[in-house]
Amino acid sequence: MGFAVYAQFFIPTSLYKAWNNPAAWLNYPPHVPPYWVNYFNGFKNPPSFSLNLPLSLSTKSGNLYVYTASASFQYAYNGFPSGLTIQVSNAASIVTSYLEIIKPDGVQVAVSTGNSFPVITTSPPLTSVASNLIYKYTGTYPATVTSQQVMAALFGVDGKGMFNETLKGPYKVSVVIYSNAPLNGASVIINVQGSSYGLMGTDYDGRPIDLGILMGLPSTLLLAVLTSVVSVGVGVIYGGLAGFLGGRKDDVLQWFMLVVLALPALPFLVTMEYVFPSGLSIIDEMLLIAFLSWPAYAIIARAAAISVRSLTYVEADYILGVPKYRSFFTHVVPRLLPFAVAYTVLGIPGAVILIETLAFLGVYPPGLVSWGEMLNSAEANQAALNGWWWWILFPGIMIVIVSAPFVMVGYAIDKIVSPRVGVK
Amino acid sequence: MRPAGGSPLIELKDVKVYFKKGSIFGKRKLIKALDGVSMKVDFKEKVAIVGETGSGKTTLGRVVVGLQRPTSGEVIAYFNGHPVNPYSLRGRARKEYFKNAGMVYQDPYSAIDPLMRVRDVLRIPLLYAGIKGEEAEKRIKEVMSRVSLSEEYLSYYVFQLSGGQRQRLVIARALLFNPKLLVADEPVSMLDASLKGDILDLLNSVNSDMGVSVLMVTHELAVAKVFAQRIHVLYLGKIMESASSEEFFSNPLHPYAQLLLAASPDLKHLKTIPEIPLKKVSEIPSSANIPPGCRFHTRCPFAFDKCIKEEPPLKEVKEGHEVACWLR
Amino acid sequence: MMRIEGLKVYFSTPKGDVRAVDDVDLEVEKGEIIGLVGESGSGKSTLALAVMRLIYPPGRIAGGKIIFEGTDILSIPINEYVRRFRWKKIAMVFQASMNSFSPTFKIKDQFFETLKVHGYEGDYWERTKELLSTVNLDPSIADKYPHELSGGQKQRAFIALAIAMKPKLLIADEPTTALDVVTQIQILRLFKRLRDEEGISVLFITHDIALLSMITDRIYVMYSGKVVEGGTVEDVIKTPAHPYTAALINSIPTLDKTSVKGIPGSLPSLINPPKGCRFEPRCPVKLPVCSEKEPEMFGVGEKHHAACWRLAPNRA
Repeated sequence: MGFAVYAQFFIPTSLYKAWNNPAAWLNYPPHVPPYWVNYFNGFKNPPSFSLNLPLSLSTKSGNLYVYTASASFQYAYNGFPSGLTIQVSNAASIVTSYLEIIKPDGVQVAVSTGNSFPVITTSPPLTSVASNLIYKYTGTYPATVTSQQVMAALFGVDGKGMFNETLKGPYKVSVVIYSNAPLNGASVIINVQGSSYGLMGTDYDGRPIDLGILMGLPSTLLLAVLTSVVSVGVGVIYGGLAGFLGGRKDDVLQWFMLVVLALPALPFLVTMEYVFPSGLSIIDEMLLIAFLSWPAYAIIARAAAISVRSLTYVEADYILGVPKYRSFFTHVVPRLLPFAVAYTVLGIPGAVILIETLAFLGVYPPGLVSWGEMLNSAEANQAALNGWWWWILFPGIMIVIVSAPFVMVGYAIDKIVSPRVGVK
Repeated sequence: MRPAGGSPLIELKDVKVYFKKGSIFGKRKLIKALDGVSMKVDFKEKVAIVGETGSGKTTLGRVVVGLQRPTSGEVIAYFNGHPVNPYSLRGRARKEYFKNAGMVYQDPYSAIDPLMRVRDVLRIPLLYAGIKGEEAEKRIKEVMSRVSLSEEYLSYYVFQLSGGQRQRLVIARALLFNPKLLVADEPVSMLDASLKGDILDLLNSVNSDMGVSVLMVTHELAVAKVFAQRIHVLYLGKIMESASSEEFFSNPLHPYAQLLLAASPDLKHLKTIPEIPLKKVSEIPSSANIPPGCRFHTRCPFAFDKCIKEEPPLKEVKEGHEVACWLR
Repeated sequence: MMRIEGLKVYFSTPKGDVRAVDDVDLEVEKGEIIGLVGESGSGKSTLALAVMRLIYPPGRIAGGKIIFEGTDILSIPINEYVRRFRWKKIAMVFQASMNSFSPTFKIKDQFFETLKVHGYEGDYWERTKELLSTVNLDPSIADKYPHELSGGQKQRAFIALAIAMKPKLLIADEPTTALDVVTQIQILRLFKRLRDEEGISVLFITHDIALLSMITDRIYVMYSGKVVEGGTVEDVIKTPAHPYTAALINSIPTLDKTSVKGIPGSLPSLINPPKGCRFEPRCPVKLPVCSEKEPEMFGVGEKHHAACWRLAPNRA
């Protein structure tokens, strides 16, 4: 629950909007597993890391400013990073730039990185480096150069085995930038996109799964709680009234209740989504789901009300002139209340699952993140086929985990509150 | 047919209450709960209706208190001095009229909602009758003291009260509107022996001090003896014998009454099970299948052919003593 | 045949132990009908359940022995008890047992099942017929469903079930409430016949002492978890030695009375019983010692004893 509160308050709404914008996630390694898999597979999956190189002015002549920056890092992983991005914070006035990497074995890789930023792994400057190296070791130029090949060129051992083995040790990176305007306080950020990220990995666009989980939490919970409360509330009162009033009124109420009960929920909801092309807001969705769920509670409440109605003290009230509605509130409602509370809590998991299922099918208020939706895009991007288990596992597990505590609490409430036939 | 003296408070004339039972599929059964009952309760009288389960005694009590409309027959009440047929009144007027009759239920545990506060049990009916505030409070204290329940119980919840106390509360509640008549349906059968006396005493004092008539419905003849001035014996929806208490117990005329008397406990004859005059060990017929002729003939040891063919009318054989039997 | 010594059955509650049965001694001989009378809260039903070893948490046997034909049935393991005693030597008819029949099976099926479960050797159908005729039911009853029978028939059928394995002791807890007077008499007669013809002892538990006066040999009176008086039915009813017994007899409506007097006051707490006599607050003839010390059981006659200081004031 704490997470939900945190997510609600601390994650800026801009982040939500950004979720659906792939450009925002460029710096994140796409579809990579969580970091901790490294413990299992012998450190084949390096995490991402960034090198922040503050630029310092080295020379200036006339309008031309020359900035340099450098840094070094240790590389010890058995696997290759998945990509590289180079970004400069203020790229408008850059004329040209150079990147130089000195690998642990002394081999230098120098690249002219031009003036169009960000430079990514599949940009020509990097791909041509890779291409040349491949030619050097194999004698032929590859038709197309993939990210993996670029990474192998940069981080692999020099020689024929460059694709299989990483070169471990200290790497030194330097950048030279020529700019025709001062770049005050600018820095170069080199993003090495590992092939693992964070607690739960990333999806196809590089969006971290753990972030998605966090963001999905409050909205899902809110919706589920609202739905449950409304449907139990309506159901219990409706059923209680029907049972208590009896006779014709009861028949009419029951008829309507059964009609609603018979509606198939999922097809109905999906249809609704398409009938309202502008999509459903939270309130709408909640109302619709509640509309379909309340009959279940009404039936039980009605049965309870019927048993109360035939109790002697209800009849006694009637003789004494107490109006029926008063009897209802005095006798029936207090007895329905605990059961209503228990069922509200128990109803939340059901609502969660329904909501996520709908999201999976694409029915969801726009602008919100949901786990079902994550599963939806997982399916669309064939996550299972590609072996991106983390994308499926974590949203799925969350749905279950979030339900569990409510079920347990609800069950406990039910035990405390239900009248038990005792001994004497 | 009426004994001299005493002005009637409520009269039943040939009242029948039939229930239809059965589904659309099966045969429809007609349950004759009351099959032509004529009796009355006088002003300030204590009357007992004695019968076993299935005799219709509970239904009779409910007719008197306004809960059960008779299928046919007349009910004439004199609660305000002049004759009124309360069942001819519409809805609210009828309910108002029947507030002159209070109901005391059998089971103190289900007659009042255990979750309520004692004060509310009495306050709410008053509220809906338009009595509130100080006036209501006064009335509440009055009835509580009438049933000897200390005022401190007002703030308790009902479930904190014992069975005996609850039954007192039931009586208090029935007295809220100063009824002229109380119908007590088995008021002591669910209480322990040590409590029976107190409740019976209480009903007695309500009768003598407040002038309230009591119609007690019971299956225990001994209870009727200890309490009532007049006894009516009910069997399968019809009165078999009516007499003053003294007369009845010294000279029971109907074989069914004799049977009940023989089976009632007394502590005089120890270690002996009484012989009961019964034709054979036969079961009580159901009210859906009442035997023709005299309805008791299937179990009566003295039945002869007239009994099987014709139903005996309720006839006065001695002053104030009526029997429905061909033997008399 | 059965001797209960110092039986204690306590129920644990958040407020403390409810002492439903608190140090009770009781005896049943072969071929006797013993009455156990008490009002609600006296512990009589709990005692019956203890003999049947049907006390479940939060209740427990807190002390005492029940010696049945030489064996303390409380100390043997429960499966041994069930195998040797329950329903074979000791059987019970509960209040409203007639509702214990499963509505979806015919009577005879329920008889067969009982016979089978308890390992009856012999023809089930023969035994069922035998049992039904013992309780004066026509064997055609066996082919019916419970809802086709009247209350009295069902109760008798249940009694037949209870004696199916020829127990030595039949415990009957309020077997006749909810039945009409005629059926009541029939059941009483049945118990008498079981005693006379089959040699079954009956422990008849009820709140209605008048019923007991008709068939029992001896009566025990229970109040607030303790036995306050025991004796032959003549002794107890004609010359009650304990003030509670006397007050109880006075309070029941019977045909020979014109008025009844209830017992004022209410039951003492079963969680915190008073240190003196439990009946003392309501007793019309109490002595100063009564609120100080619990009375012992004093002999009044040959088989008659009661726990009251008035019987031995010099010992107080």
